Amino acid sequence: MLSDAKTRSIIIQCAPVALAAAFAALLVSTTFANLRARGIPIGFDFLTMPSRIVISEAILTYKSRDPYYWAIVTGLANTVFISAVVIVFSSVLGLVVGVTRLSSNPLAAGTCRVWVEVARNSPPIVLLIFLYSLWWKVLPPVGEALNPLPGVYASMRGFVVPAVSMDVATAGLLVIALALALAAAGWAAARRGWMPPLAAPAILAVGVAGLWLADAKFSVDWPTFTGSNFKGGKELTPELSTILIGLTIYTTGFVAEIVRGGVLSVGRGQWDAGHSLGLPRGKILRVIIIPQMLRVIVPPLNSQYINVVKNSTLAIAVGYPDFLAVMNTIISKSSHSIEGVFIILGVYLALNLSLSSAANWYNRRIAIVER
Amino acid sequence: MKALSLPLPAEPMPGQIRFGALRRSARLLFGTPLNAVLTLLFGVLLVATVPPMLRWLVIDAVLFDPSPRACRVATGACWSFIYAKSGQLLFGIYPLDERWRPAIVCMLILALLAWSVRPASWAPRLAALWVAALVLIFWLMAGGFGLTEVPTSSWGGLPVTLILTVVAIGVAFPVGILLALARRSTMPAIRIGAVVLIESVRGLPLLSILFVASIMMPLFLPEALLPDKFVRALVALTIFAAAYLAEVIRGGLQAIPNGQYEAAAALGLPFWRTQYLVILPQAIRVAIPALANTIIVMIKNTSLVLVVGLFDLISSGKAVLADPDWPSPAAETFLFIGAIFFALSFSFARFADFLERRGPTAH
Amino acid sequence: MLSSTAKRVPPMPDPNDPPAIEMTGMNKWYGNFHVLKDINLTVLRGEKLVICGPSGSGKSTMIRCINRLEEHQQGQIVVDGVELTNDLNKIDVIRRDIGMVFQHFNLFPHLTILENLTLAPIWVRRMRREQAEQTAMYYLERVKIPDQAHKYPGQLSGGQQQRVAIARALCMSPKIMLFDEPTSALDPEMVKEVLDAMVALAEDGMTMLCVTHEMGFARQVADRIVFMDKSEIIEMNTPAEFFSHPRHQRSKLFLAQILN
Ligand SMILES: Nc1ncnc2c1ncn2[C@@H]1O[C@H](COP(=O)(O)OP(=O)(O)O)[C@@H](O)[C@H]1O
Ligand SMILES: [Mg+2]
Repeated sequence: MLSDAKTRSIIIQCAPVALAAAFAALLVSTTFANLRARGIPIGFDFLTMPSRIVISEAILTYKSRDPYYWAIVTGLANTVFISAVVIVFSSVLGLVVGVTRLSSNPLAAGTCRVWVEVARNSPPIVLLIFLYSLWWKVLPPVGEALNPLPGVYASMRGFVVPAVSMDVATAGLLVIALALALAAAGWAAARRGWMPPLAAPAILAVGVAGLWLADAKFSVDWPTFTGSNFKGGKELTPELSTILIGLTIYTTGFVAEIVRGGVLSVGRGQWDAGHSLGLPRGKILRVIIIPQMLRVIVPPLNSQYINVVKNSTLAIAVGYPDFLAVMNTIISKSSHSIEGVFIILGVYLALNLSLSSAANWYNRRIAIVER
Repeated sequence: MKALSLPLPAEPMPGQIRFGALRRSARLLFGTPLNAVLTLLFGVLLVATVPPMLRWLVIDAVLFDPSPRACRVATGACWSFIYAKSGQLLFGIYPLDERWRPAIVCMLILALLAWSVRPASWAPRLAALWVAALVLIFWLMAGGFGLTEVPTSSWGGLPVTLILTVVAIGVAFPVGILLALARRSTMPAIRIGAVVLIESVRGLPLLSILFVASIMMPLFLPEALLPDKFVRALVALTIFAAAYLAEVIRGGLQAIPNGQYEAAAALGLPFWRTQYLVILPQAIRVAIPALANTIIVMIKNTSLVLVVGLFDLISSGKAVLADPDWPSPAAETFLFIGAIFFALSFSFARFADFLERRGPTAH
Repeated sequence: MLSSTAKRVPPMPDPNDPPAIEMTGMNKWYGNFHVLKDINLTVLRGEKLVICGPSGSGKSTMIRCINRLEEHQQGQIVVDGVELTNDLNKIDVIRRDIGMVFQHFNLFPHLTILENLTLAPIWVRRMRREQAEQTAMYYLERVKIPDQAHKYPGQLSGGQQQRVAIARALCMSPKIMLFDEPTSALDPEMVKEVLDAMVALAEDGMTMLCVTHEMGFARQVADRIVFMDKSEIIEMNTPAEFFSHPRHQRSKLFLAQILN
């Protein structure tokens, strides 16, 4: 009987299932026993209670009288902000560095190679701690703040940059315009001819014009230096600046390698084929080379973006309160560890799942272009 | 877009070979308008950054002067601090008189690693050698049987980093193989279990797993089953590495044509024999470049255990910096630690390049 | 061309022995696609069958059912007195007694030729290494490539690889050999060396089922020819009859195509 394929398969499957179930039962029972022994109730009611925890800096406004759920949202906003900024900057820089590495100019290619190797071979947390330790060594005190770009100041106290302020309606409109532009770009990728290159900028232009017509409240607040302090603008603390710069340096190295691999994956034969058809260089690049490159680049690029979200937890190394750090504080403050763990797992899984499903959607689109 | 110099190597012109090296580099640097612009741009950048860095790193630096005062007055890096504190930096809070033990452990691990990367030494014997070495390492570190006992809470520095890396990857590798096979299984319960485990671990940041392992485990597990901090971190690192290695190995498995399974089945080889003798040796060979990349990521990941209170290289760096006699040269210290990690993973990356060039089927 | 030259007389299979393979009322589906329709076929010990028919007619599927690389859904397959069911022990027994040679050789590329040949005897038949190597060298000599023993499959020509594959199957001392288009992935100049090895095997009295379109081989070796089309066995006959008087319209058409 035991040698029957079906019976054996069922037995083989039962063993690990039973083991997992037993382990889960042990976990649940001891957890409840431990919680009962410590007199801790289980439930998400605590979320609406005042948290009284301190969040040293936040993108959103947060006061320690705010309820727990708002503390969580604040931490999450910090994480999303770091991830978004790092993804945008490292994508642009990675494109530049990756292509420059392929240049025949040894000076340029060599410098970019050093960047890539340093990024790929050093732990991001060491990079962050190192940069953080440099902060006071390299940058001047506030009184002698550097002013590398108009409206941008750098000193021991961090960066000050011009702040863009807008009302909620304007922000909403802008988001819609951006989303439309992105959709147009995706749609354009599936088509050829004169429309694609124009579609996205056109929609963006219409959006901006719409904002102007709608008399949107939109202003730029330029920081001014008063001799000992700054007025206006947006201050980025050394902690936040370190994370943004460090993770961008780190991620750029990986993006550059992906870009380089994508460029190299399209053989010279494709250029030759394009030339032999009499296509101009720009056209070859747009309709032959780039679509093939994207097919190679998008999947690993997406896993890098997911890595950025994961690496944003390293903020803890320099004391910046990202989502995980805030959750850690909440758990030790409220003793709701079970609920806290579920929130942590749920949030990161949801963030990464949404990133990868966006990439999968895009992948399907470019796969259709191929056919 | 046209200006981008895509990978079109310069056409070799007749007579080019006779050009002097100087002419050739001049042509590379200024041959096209784009190259000239790049040269200028990067030239300015390098001139602005390299000399001051060199001055700080070497020229103005204090190299061996053992007195902290020299560092206070110097404008360059304070390497004498690293030199003076190297013992504490490398071995953390391990008892002073017993430092020879972690020193031997580090050398043993590094020597074994160097030995293991030679393809000639790849044999089942190698695994046995490692197991024996690990027993020796744990005896040296923890003591007992004639040596003074040292609890894991006093372990620190480089040996912690090395042990965590080697053991986590070593255990994760077979576990990853099992997970990869499970994920390709035709049995739904096994497959779904593997998918859930692999994908949820890969969807979470390592730090959150370390947190759960280190802070939540006391709640989840009964007192008797609760491992110490070191083992908890090791378990978390291992699970993490196993999930990533499983996906890499699965990639290798997917590259094996069905004919290999059929030939093995037709010869009467049962499932595990087929995997062990026929499929896995080929799949792992296909996956070597990706495996190497994953292992580099894992080497770097061990640096995260400091967040859960283990005394690894970074924490011992921080502890060393607390000495009030010295001017707290943090940048130098973390540069040094970074250099250790860099050396480990850079040499591993070069080794992976070598394996990749060697080709998947050559012997 | 159909009138053949004097033919070697094969050792006549004894009709009183239990048959080597017996398929009765066998049916198989891939989803909705009925890939084998009511197959009835008895192969006697020592008999050599050539199976031919257009591509996609189910030839491979049929012979792969015999060693359970594919599962049939209806009917009976009895190999050497053992019925093929879900019983894994029986499947192991049957696979040990059946050797198979594939169109694409399926040698193990990470092992040397000698290791390819000794792998199954050592791990399945529990043979000692030296003995397994002796057997391997014996069969390598029979297929005329003993000098290649320490090379890797990738270093051999297609014809040599296929002969290694035959030797690998023989090392398990099978009672039945299955061939699935063993020469169709080969360059024309290598076909003969493989067919020669197969002819030699036939002369030794091995029970053989060969899916092949090499009609010269069929005429020389086959006791019967099985013609399949559209998932069915259309015609079964001696080579002489099959080539000179194909009974079925589809067989005629197929022969006309293959012989011209
Ligand atoms: N795994 C499979 N799934 C679905 N259909 C299959 C599968 N294998 C073979 N087939 C189909 O079964 C039919 C018979 O295949 P096969 O036995 O390989 O034909 P032959 O060997 O005669 O050329 C073909 O139409 C083929 O497409
Ligand atoms: Mg076939």
